[in-house]
Amino acid sequence: MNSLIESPRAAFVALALSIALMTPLTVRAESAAPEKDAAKLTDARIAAIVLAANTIDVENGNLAIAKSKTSSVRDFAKQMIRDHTSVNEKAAALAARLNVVPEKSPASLSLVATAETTRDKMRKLSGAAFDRAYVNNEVSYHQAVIDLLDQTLVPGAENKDLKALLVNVRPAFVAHLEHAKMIQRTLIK
Amino acid sequence: MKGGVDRRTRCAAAVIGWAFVAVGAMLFLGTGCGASRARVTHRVEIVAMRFEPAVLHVAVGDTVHWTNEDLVPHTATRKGTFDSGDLPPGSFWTLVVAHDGVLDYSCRYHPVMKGSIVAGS
Repeated sequence: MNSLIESPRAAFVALALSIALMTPLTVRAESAAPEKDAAKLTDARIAAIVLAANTIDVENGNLAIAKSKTSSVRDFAKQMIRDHTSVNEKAAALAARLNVVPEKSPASLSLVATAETTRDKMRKLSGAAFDRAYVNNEVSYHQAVIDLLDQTLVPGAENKDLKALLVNVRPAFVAHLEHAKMIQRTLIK
Repeated sequence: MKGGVDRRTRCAAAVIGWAFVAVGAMLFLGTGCGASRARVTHRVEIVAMRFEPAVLHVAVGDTVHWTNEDLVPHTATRKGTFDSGDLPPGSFWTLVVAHDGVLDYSCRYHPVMKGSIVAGS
């Protein structure tokens, strides 16, 4: 199995940490050189990260529905599609209400690129190997997004409604993580 | 004449008797209405992946009103007894509790979410 699938958490944690480490620097250097702006975390960029994070898991779920024949994995995938679609609808509605136009940033683009690479690897798998790769990735991904919420997005959000959305969505990610871990235990050989 | 008097007496007695019965019945019903507990609607909020309150004490005949204040769809389900069906964010569902007992329930989509209705008579 490839390293991306075996340790996707490392990639997402590295991403989260890189954003977390960049943010204080950019806050202090808002009027500095333009290249520093690339790392600046604004509400518009946070909105784009939230939308990307949810869309990634919807797409992961669609892949699992297409490839897995295991009922527990398929049910979990359906739940991910249902929940993350719903969160995105709420996030998009809030952004529209606040007149915040989600803005892509290196962080959101990196998140999407990493997820696409992971899915490419998973597409080449089948049967039990796919189930394990998908569920392992779900465990790692949800943990990484929770870390991202706690360490970067919630502290970085300026608008109180956006901050509230980020706080309110956390329990869903935690429940998904626990559910994924539960399935993970059943898939261990 | 005697028979007529007796008949009138019996009629008067009957009227008075029925009046007492009617008044007694009204008093009984009135007392009954005053003593019976009014039906209550209890609210359960679904928020942050939990039922709030998780344990709800109700009387038989009361209504439980669930509102999904969360960001994702949920259900209030007790297999074989009741099922709200899909509750998208912002929607609600009500149930009249018909029997006493403890009704444990959960969300069909998120089995970690558990609630309980404790119904007494």
